[in-house]
Amino acid sequence: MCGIIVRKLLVTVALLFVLSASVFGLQQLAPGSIVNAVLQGTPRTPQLVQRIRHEYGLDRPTPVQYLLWIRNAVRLRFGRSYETGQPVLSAIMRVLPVSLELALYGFALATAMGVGWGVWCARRQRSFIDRILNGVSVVFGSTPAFIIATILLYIFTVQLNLFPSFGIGDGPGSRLWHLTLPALTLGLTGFSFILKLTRAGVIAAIDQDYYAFARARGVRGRALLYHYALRPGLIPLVTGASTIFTYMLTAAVVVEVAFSVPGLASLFIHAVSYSDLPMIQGVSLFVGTIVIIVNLIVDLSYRLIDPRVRFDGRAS
Amino acid sequence: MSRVHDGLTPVEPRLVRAAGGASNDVRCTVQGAPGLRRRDFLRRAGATGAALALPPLLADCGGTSIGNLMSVTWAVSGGLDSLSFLTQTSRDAELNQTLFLEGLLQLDPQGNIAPWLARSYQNYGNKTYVFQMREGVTWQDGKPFVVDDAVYQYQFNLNPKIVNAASGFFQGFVSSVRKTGESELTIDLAQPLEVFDYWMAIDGSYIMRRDQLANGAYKSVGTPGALPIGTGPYRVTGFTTNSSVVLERYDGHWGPKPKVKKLTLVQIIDDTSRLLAMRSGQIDGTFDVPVQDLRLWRDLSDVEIETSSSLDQWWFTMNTVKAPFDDVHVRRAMAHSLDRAGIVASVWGGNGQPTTNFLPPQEWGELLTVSQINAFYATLPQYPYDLGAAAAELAQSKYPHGFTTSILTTVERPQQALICEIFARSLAKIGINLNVRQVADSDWANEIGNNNPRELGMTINDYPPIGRDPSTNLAIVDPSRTGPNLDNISHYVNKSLIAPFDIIHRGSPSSSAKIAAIKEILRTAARDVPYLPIGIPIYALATKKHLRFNNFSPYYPFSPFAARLGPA
Repeated sequence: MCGIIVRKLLVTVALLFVLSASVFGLQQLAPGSIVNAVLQGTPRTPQLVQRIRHEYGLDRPTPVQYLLWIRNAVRLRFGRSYETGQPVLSAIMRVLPVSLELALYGFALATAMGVGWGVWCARRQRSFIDRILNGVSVVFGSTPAFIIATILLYIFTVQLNLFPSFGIGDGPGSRLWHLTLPALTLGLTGFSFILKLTRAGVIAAIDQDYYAFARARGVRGRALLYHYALRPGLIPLVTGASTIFTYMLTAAVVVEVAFSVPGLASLFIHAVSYSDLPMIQGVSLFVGTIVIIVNLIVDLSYRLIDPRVRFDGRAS
Repeated sequence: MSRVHDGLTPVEPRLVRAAGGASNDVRCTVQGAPGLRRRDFLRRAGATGAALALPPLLADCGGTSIGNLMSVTWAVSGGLDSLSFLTQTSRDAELNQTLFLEGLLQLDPQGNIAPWLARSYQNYGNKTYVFQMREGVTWQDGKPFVVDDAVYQYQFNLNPKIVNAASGFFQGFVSSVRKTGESELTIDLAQPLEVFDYWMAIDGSYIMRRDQLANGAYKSVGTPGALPIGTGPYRVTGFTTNSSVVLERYDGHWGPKPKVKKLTLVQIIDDTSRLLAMRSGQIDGTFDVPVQDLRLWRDLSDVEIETSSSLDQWWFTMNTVKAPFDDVHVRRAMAHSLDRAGIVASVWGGNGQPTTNFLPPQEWGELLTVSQINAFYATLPQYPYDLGAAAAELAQSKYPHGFTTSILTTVERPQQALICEIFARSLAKIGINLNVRQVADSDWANEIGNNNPRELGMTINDYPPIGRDPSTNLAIVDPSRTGPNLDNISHYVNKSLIAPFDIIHRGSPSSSAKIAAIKEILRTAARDVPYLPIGIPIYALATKKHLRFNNFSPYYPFSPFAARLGPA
């Protein structure tokens, strides 16, 4: 087992290397100038431009720039933002908790809605409720997040005045309250996938012989549902969980803007609009790392859920 | 199975299967309330908790309880990346920086230069500026502000080893900063610059404390961990990057005391979210009312909308020394292809006015009345939207069958792309293919600022007001001001303009001489069409009805706006 974990970690490192090279390469190709980002259109002299290029190492060959960057990145030194002068890592660490809280909150809501309704639909296949919930999930799944955000803002902020429309609040209670509508937006856009996976997984499990035998033995109610339908039905959901979590992180781009949440996505958008290369690289690498780690955890968790799955990925 | 919790005594510790068989339930009692089921207890406890928690949570957000102006929540659309003017120079950033930072000069609500930390100043030949410093000024921690602080800041800006957004202006134009008396500071320029005092008033003269600049401290000042200390009427007490700034009135400020004691600036980038926040009463006001959505904002109850001409002239620039724009017939064809009224209607929702001249009447200062100016403008060559006339002009040019060119727009101002697309559709009808490309704001700004005559083609820009002296705004056609970092970005040189500009640059010409010179400049420029004026949108301000913003004008970002807020 340790060998498998080490192998997966090595693959993770290789993936991070590819990710970092891609991010660095794309930014080299992208239009934009560091000098512009630093001086922001204010007057400049040739000497000043030269000094900026030297200070940020732009007068060195591109491979050298990359090697210097990767050497510092390994030590978690991503440089300073061209625009604000802040260390990239501290800027990321400042907003990372908000983004993770939002993504986890949204993921929890999506999972609660998706699994709950998915099981319900599976147990009442082709019923009126099943069709309604499936229809609702399709509507939310295909509606852009910014439209759902606006509708939620209108209902819960303007009409009911229950939730704030912007910001993240101070303190845990206030933070939870501020993030509820953004998380609900994420949850509503993401639950449809979970509902479908859960429904399909549970229906597939219900069709299995072991389920029929369990019923024949007199197992009923929750025990039958949890042990013989939901647990095996969850395996495709776990596989999809990394996709859903990644979706939560990316959909946050729209949600953070709509609800004025200062998270990683806002930081990234702003960095792109200012060609703030260190910030773009830092955020990309960070988000990429999170996604890779989530995938790693999902890979390793298969066995916990289904003992039939060996670590070489095949069913025993 | 026993489930004993503090305060709960199970009276029937047995599993009770509910009718549907799907849930477990434990019947419990609360001491003093026999017979209360555990689920009911939890439900009531939750409801009570929520009832107790909600009021403070509700009070935590928004600034609606401001009857006595103790607290105001104001929405901004950007500018909260950092609170340092060394890294942030946008107009959004200026809006918050003027609240806690001050410079030697400031633009007042009428657009006039007002002495600020300097109580007066003298201009010697547009090359040497001598400032007499105000006394009794203190930093927001109570320590006295002295002339050495100003000298330190400006010499810091001049230091060639330090690179920041303020360096460019100082290192480009200033040669020395000296203390020339107990309360006197002298700035020498490398070359005469008649708009230097305007620059100092709107952009380049903020002063921060020495300990926030020295020993590399400037790199982190303006972040949540290093809040800036200035001399302004408000001090920063809290900052969350890209989210909010909390400012409290600094009662030791030398100037008049603002009525608003606590001001929270919240960043709401999305226009719709800002509208909904205003509608729900969670913000008390904003300057960021999108003019194209003005009707929606006017429909809000309990909200006052005030508008003002922005003087924010939008225009296209054509590089007159680079093909194909070096051909005056091409430029005239472009002018006839520009549907100004259509752009104002579709891009700004009709909330603006098309312009045919790059010097709006309001920027003539006191020289002429608006009706006199309009009468003069009517005598200038006109280029109404007429594709037939455009095609005829193009036929006389070196490119009778058209050409292909491109233009950059900034992602920060999506209206630029809209305007360019509308223009491109008109131009396509006469054979001119205009490719519109959106780029990062810094890259767009660089193209405008760096204005390399070999590289620059056509640009779109908007020119916010710098002051009420028309000579400053005429610099865009001044033959002596072509080149990188200078105002004449069309590289337009007509030697017949040298004489009238000499009159304007001559210090204090008589009004009649100045008027005649300006008219000559505008007449010549109207014939040669180096710029295509598009229009001027309005500025709109939204406030709750119990608030009033005094003297709303296009110059609102350049002085501490919260000092002008008061009860309605």
